Amino acid sequence: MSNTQVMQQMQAMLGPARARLGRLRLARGLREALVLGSLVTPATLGVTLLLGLLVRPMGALTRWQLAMIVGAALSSAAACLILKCGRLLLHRPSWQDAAEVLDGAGNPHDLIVTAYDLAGQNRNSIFARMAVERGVTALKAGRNRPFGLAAPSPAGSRIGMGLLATLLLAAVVVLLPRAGGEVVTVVGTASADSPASTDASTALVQAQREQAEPPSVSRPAIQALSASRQTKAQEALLAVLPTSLARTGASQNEAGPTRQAFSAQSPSANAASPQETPPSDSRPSATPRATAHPASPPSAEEESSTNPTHTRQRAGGSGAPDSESRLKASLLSGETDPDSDEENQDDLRQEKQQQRALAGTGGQPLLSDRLGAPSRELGLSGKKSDLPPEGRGGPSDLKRSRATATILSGLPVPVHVKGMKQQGKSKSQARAMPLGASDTESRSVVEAAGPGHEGHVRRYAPDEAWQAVLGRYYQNLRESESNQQSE
Amino acid sequence: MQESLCTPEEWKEGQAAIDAFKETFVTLRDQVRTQFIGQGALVDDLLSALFAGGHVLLEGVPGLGKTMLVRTLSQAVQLGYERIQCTPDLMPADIVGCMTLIETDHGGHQLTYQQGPVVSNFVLVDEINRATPRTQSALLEAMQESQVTVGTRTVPLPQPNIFIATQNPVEQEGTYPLPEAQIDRFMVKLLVRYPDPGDYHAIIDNTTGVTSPAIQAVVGGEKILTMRRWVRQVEISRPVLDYAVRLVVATQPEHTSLDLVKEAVALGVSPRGVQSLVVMGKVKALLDGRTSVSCKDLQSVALATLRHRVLLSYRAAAQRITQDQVVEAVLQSTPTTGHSA
Repeated sequence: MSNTQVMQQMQAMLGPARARLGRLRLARGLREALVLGSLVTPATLGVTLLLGLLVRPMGALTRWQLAMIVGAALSSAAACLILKCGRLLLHRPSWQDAAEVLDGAGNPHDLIVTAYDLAGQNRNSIFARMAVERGVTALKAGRNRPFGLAAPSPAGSRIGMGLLATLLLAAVVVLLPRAGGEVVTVVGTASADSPASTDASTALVQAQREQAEPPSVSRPAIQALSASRQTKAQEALLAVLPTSLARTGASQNEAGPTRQAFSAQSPSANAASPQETPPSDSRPSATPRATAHPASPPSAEEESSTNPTHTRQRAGGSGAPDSESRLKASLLSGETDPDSDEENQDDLRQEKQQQRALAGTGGQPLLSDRLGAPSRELGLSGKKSDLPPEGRGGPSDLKRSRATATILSGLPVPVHVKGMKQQGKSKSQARAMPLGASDTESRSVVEAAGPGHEGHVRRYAPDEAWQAVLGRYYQNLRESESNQQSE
Repeated sequence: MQESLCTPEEWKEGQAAIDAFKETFVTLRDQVRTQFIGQGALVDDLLSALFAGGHVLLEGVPGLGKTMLVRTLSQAVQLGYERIQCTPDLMPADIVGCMTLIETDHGGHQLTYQQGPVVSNFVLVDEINRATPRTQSALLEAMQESQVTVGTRTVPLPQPNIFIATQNPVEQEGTYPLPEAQIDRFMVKLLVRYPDPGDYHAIIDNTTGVTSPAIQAVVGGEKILTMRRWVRQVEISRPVLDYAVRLVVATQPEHTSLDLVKEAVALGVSPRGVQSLVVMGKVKALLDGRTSVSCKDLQSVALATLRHRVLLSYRAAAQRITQDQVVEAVLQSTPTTGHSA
C-alpha cells in the first residue's frame, strides 16, 4: 500500500472528526459573535439615538431617523456575525486539524498527526513507515473519541448585560416619539403663555453660565499674592541667617513688604534712599512697584545690574559700609564681590610666581599643580564629588555604586563586565544556595541566613517597599550607564 | 495494514534497533549508577546527550559528584579519556597541543606536533570557568567541528567525541563566565542537585569503605556511533517541528508576544538550540519505543537544551528571574499541536 492510499484511508477515518470539528468551530464563532455583538449593538444603538436626539433635541424623531437607528444597530450585529463566522463558513477544518484534535483528545505523543504528515511527505524510511503504522493504529482506536475545543471563557454575564442594554435602548427608541411630542407641546405652551417664564429661564441660564465660568481674579490681586509669597520666603531665609543679620533684616522689615523685597536685592541702595518708600505704608498686601509707584525712579537692582561700578562707588562713598549687610546682600543675590575675586587672583598669581622661582632650584614641585585626592566616599549614586577625576586611584563610579547598592541595601545588583558581552554577577547573586533534589527555586545565602550580622558589619535589611524603590533606582542608574557606554 | 506498508522483516529490523538502543542505554545507566548514586534524571540526560552526539555542561556546587559522574561514565564506555583541569594560567597550547622540537634517533631535530588532551574521544573539562576566555575559546573549534588546527596542521578528533565540562555556580570570583559562543556549543546544561536524603546511605557505603564498586566498560565507540545513527533516523513531523520552532522563537524578545520574555531576555535561543532540542527529543522518543518525536518529548528536554541559551537582561538578573523560569513560561504559553486547533 502506498502512502497515498494510506492518506486516503486516514482521511476516511478522520472524516467524522473533521465534521465535528467544523461544527464546534462554528459554535464557538457564534458564541464569540454573540459576545462581540452584545457590546457593539447597544453601543451603536446608543450612539445613533444620541445623534438623533442631538439633531432634534426637543422634538419627536421622524420615521426615517428611527429607521436609521434600528438599521445601524442591526448592521452592527450582522457585522459581528460575519466577522466571527464568515471565515469559518468559507474554510472547513483541514485533515491535519482533525488529526491534531484527535491527538489532543487522548493521544499524548501526536501519533496520528505525525502519521498523516509523514504519509503526506512520502517518507519511506523504516522508522517513518513504522511511525505511520503506529499512527493509523492509534487512529483506528481513537477515531470516535469525543473531543472539545478550547473555548473562550464564558461571558454569560457580559452577554446578558449587553442584551439588557439593547432592550432598554430599544424601548427608549420605541417610546421616544410619544414622549418627545408631549415635551414639545408642553414647552410650546409654556413659552407662548408666560413671557415671565422666559425671563426666568434666561436668568437661570445666566446663573448657570456664571457658575460654570471660573472666578475671575483681578491682576493686582495676583500680584499682591505673589508679593506676599515672596515676603514669606524672605522671612524664612532671614531666619537662618546670623542674629546680627536678622537684626538688620528686622529693622528693614519695618519699612514694609515692598521695602523688604527691595532691600533684599540691594541693601546699599536701600540705605541711600530711605525716603523713597513712605514708612506709613501699612497695606497688608504689598503692591508691586510698577503698580503702586508708576513714576518711581529705576530701582537699585536695575541700577546695579546695568552699572556695577556705580554700586561700588556708592558703597565706597558711604564711608563705612555695613559689612554684614554686604554679606547678606551677596548671600541673597548669589553674586561674588569682584574686589575679593581680584585679590584672590592676585594672590594666586603671586604664589605661582614665587613657586616658579623656587622650582628652578629643584627645591620643590609646583604646589599649584597639585591635584586633589580622589574621593573614596561611597555616595548613594556612586558619583564623585566636585574633585577632579585625575587623582590617583580610588574606586570607579561603577565600583562605588556597586558597593553602595550591595552594602547599603542588600540588593542583588548585577554589574557589567567591560569587554564582555555576558554580564557578570555581583557577589550577592553568586552566593546562591545549591538546589535540592526537589527544589524548584534557588535561594541566596543571604536570604537563607535571614536578618543578622555578618562579621562586624551589620546587615541592613530594608523592607520590601524600600527595596523596590532602591531596586528601581539602581536599575535605571545602571541602564543609563550602560547606554552611555554603548553610545 | 502493517503487512502492506512495512514488511515484517523491516518491522523486525526497526524494532530490533529500538530494543538494542534501549538495552544499551539501560546497561550503561546501570553501570554508572553502581558508582554514582541517585539523580536518575541527571544520569538519563547525560547519557541521552552522549547518544545524541552533543556536549554537556554540568553545573553544581562542590561535592555533588560532578567529576565523579563523568569519570564513572568514562570508565563505562570504551573510549579514550582525557581530563583538562582548567586553571587561570592554562594556555590554549596546553589544550590543543603545539609544535615541539624533538631530537631524533640520529641526533637531529625535528619539529613535530605534540597533540593536546583535546584530541581524544572523551574529554572532561573540569572547572571550565576557571580558564581564561582565550583558553576557553580554544575549545570552540574542537566542540563544533570535531577538529583542532595548530599552525597549518588540522587534526580531526577521534569519533565518537564528547566534551563534558563542569562548572561551579558559586565562587564566581576569579572565574571567567563562559562567552555566548562557547556556551551555545553545549547541547545540554544539566544542573547537579543535592541527592535525596535516602541516597546518602548508599553514597557513604560506596565511598568510605575499603573497596569501591568496579566499573566495567559496557559500550564501545562503534556501538555509540551506531546508536547515534539510529537517533538521527527518528522521524519528526512538520507540526511537531513547528512546535519546536515556536518554542525557540518564543524565547526571542523581538519575536515573542510573551511579556516576561520581552522584559527578561536580552538574547533568545539560536537555531543551534532547535537542533539540540530536536535531537534530544529523538533520543527521548527512541527510549520510549517510538520512531517519531512528539511535543511531549520536546517539552521533557526543553529545560536542559534551552536554559543556557537564554541570556537574561540586566533587569531580569536584578529581579532574580532565572533562565529556567523563562523557559517554563515559554513552555506554558506555547500551544502544542493538539491545542492549536
